[in-house]
Amino acid sequence: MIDYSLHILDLVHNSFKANATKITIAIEIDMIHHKCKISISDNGIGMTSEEVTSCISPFYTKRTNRKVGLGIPLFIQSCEQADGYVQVTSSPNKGTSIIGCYDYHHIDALPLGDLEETIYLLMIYSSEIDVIFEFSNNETAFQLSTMQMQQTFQGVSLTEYEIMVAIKEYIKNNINNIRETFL
Amino acid sequence: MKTLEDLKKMRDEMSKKISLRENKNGLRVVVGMATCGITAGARPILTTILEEVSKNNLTDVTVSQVGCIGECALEPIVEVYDAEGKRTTYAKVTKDVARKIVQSHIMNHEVVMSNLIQSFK
Repeated sequence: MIDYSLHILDLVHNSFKANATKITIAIEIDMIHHKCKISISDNGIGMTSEEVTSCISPFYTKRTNRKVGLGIPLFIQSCEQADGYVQVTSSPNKGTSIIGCYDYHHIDALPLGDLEETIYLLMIYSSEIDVIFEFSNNETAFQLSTMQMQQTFQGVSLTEYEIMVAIKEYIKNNINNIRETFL
Repeated sequence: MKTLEDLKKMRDEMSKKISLRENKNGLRVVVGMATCGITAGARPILTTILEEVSKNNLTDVTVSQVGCIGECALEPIVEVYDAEGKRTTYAKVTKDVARKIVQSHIMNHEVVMSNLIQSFK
């Protein structure tokens, strides 16, 4: 993965597979300790404690057409190489949460990447799933969700070209001042 | 586009233009969006296809994201299902090929020969 936005796209697809109907993606920037914390939590089918221990292994997967599952191991690598860590917690039938934390000033930290594209693609994945996106630093916060967008555009599909451009622009304009923290 | 009000204003303009659009029985396009697809660059391909489909007003075409198709080395993979469920698989899709898939396969029913998965095996 070349940036964290691709990791988020990948990890949220795990939540989709776990039949989640509500997924929260929160990115918190701690400007004092220059840490970035990415957390994804869902209300999907969850995992047993054995599954939680084994999901960090590249040789653990639930799919049947391949014997490897690299999503979480790659995310761990991207966080650990920037002086960070990843924490997975889950309970069956309640949901799963994965938290990745890293030092954004570390020389090996990846860029955050094109968040607006990731969030938009996740929001249109299914109209039944509420994807909530929160982006904050010590001073300000921005929040957006699938439900909120559906209400705003009532009756008009989110996949219309003009709407696609507008939503991405809306996200971009609102998170830019928080992203400047990284500069 | 800075506030929700801007978006709402836009919605009102759009809703005048869009009237009856409910037929979803046409082609289905799926893009592999598992770890393998994403690392190979599936995200811009999906965006390109969504853009082309909506720019050309192809309202009966469904675009969806799926998991691993099983040919990780040949990602990004795009599959087109016709109304009877017949599948055409494209491998190593670039933005240009994605545009061609929409313009020639979806709009004119001409398969893009250069990127059929069979030619990479």
